[in-house]
Amino acid sequence: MPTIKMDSKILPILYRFCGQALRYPDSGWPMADLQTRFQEILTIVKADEEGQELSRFFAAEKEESILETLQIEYTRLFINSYGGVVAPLYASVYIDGILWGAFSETIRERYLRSGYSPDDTNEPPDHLATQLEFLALLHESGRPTEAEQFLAQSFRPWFSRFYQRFSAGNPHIFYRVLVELIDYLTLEEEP
Amino acid sequence: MAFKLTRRTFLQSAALAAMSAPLAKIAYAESTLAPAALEAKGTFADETVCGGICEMCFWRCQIIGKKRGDRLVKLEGNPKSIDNGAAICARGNAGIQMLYDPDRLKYPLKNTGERGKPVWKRISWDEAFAEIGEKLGAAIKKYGAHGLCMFPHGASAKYPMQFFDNIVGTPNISEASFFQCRGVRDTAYMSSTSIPPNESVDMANAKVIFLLGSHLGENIHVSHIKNYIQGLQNGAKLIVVDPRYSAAAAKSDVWLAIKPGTDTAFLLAMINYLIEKKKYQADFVENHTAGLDELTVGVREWTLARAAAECDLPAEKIQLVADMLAENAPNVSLHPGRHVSWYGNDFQRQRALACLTALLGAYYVRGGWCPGKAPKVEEIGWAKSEHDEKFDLNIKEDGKRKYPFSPPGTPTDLIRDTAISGNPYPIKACVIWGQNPIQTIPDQEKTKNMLKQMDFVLCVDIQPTDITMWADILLPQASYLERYDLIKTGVQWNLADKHQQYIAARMPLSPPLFERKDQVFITNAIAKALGHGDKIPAESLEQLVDKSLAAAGLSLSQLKKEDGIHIQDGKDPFVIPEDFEVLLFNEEIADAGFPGVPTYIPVPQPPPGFARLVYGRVQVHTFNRTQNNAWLHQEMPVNPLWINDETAAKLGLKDGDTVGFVNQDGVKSPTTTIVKATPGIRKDVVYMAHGYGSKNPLLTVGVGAGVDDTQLISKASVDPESGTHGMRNNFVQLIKDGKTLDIPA
Repeated sequence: MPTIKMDSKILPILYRFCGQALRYPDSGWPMADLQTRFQEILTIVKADEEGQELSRFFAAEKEESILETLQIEYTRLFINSYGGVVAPLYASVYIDGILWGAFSETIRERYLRSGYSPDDTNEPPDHLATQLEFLALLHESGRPTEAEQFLAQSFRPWFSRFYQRFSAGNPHIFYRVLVELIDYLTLEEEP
Repeated sequence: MAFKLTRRTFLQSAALAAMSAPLAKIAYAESTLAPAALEAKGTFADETVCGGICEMCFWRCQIIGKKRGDRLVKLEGNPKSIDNGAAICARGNAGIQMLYDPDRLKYPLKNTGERGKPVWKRISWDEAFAEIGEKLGAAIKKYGAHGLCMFPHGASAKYPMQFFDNIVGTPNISEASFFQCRGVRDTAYMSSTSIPPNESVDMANAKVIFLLGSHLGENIHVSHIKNYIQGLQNGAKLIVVDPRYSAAAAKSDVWLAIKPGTDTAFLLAMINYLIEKKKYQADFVENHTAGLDELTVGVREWTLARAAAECDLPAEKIQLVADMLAENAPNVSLHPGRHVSWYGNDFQRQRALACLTALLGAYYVRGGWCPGKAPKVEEIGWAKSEHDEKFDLNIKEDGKRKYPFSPPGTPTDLIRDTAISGNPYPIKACVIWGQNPIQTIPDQEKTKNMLKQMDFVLCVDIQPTDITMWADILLPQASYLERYDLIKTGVQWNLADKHQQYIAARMPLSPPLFERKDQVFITNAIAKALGHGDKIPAESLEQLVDKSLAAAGLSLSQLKKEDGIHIQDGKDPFVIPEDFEVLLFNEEIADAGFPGVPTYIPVPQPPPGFARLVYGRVQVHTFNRTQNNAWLHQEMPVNPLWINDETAAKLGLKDGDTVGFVNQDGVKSPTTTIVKATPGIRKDVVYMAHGYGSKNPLLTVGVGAGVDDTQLISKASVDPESGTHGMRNNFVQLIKDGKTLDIPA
């Protein structure tokens, strides 16, 4: 059985935090805060090597070039890339082989059945960040069991495939840490 | 990665708890889910949306969409259509896959790497327009409007093309649909009948259907195929002239496996025979043609025997075809073809076809060439303006046109050569809109060299085709399923049925996903960035379409009420206009220094060891436009090489073997395809479907699948009258297991 502490207050915050970090890093993106929080998380989980690598990245360049590096990497990993996009952020790509496939609709139905609706009709509903927000909402509204069901039935089946593709794409340390954290927060833990 | 803590411990740690406030500051910054009314499972109703017009090919069938929730799940023909009806083809069905293709462009991209080896960065539309304004503006300021060139294609490119043509004022615009496809057909017929012919042959009611190179059946356009099949069902005899036993040849009564490039000689021999034997339609010729005497003299040398030798056909068979046509005239459909940029002698061939049709009296009659009388809507667009002729590359120093019978725009090589040489002036900015010049224009290296020397390259497309690798800024356009657009007008598909007309405007079946925008939004923003905001003719594509419809007393809201298609009474098409005249001899052509009667110009023959490379369409693809469509790819993942079975046996090749190619210029195909050994092709020709073998890894389905025939077409033959490209004068050898194989004669 899943072992995430049901009454955890911090878990939905972490889901949401990861979702925000998955937004495209434009000029309004909270880069400095994200850096600080990631460094702190890496310290807590004793991922010293990654913490140092991340620290070196942020220390080595000016803010504009850090942002541009992350923009180029985000585009390569998740949008379009000359070598082939590494890992799109949409569940349906991994289940149906298509954007906004039947699985996207399944996910959207799931949101609606819990009383939530995507407010952006230009964006497929099965974006990773949207699913993390949904998990957070379920926890925040006192429905951890539903969250566990969603994780097991809808989230993990595609995320594990995403994770494999992502990991094989030589991702930048920032996104490596981010996706690793999402995996850590959503994976069923051994008792 | 090593997270050296169990999650339970992590979540319960005091250190993490201490972080909750600063984490929450970020965590709640933006939200994508809003509270909504609870919906029980299974409450989604299916919905039908009307008003679609397909663009998986240029035929533009009227379609409807079936939606489930927000997702488009199926496309069908609009049952109200009097054109394609409820039917659409495989490509039309696969529009769903195009719409939701994960590889499609989603956001504006900036190339932070090199042209040809891009490193993309997503940027905002504002950033994109600022950069476009700065770079295009700088090029125009430094080099003049003629320092910019454009390669547009398709319905979405019309509005921006008018902007760059009329407002910016560049004459350097070259459309593939003209210069690498049907332009030479249109100008040849314009010089003969004053009317571009389209594919307006009433095959459904013909006694004989004559196809010169057209491979209907592999070339599927729904109402056109219905028309063709109805003709065959009604008992029309089918004559197919093609070096390959095509799908059409397989249904033919007479198949002539003609030697490639000699079609004009074949047509001239039939013209000569009909005149000599007085088997032409004398009344029509008397009343609706001019120049019979000159034509008679001009074709006299083309006896059946001479044509037989030139075309490698039996003389009796040429006579048989001429007699079949004469005996059934005027109810004969001589198909004008579509993609007819073949050998660089195409203007004269198309003229010959138009003149032969005239001798048979097959204009405006049942079963002949007969355009339906379609309704009119108004063309709304950017205000027209005149160009300064001194920058028109098609005008020589003496004021005459280099290619007097060019389609609209500038012949492609005049632009490429000028850009590369800088003579007579520099061309330093390039706009590519909906076209993939890498896989449409022969001599890819020349295209690349042209792009390398540009100061700025802008591409607008729905997907990352090969050309987009050369862009500095790449903009994602809404596809035909996501936007308002083109107004299609026409008549019922079978001219023998009750005369009706229709008007249909494209309406979106799905909202545009991500940040895709339509051509009016993009063009207007570019216009503003270049200081032409005051000349914008419509604020939105929807408004543009509505204005056009108003001329016909319609509106988008009215069309929606009518399920996407307005139908009204039509007019009898079988009435020949009094002033309709076919110029069998054209003095203007003669005055320009070209043959005034249709004339055969021999084409280069394969060198020893090589075969001519010929290409065509397939049912499940629209050239490179659909190569990344996973559904269509599944149906035909590569483009098999058709090769004569005896030749294949001599080379030790069998069906399914893998081969690559090298052409007469040493250009090698980087990919391979499979062999289809068949008696159904001449020994001096090999054939493959066009539009395979993309080089762009962004197209994860189409990249490297099959062979890119355009890469092997390194030698472009330019038609002397029209400046259009002939693309079938290239020759190949095969490469098997690293060894180059000479193709026996």
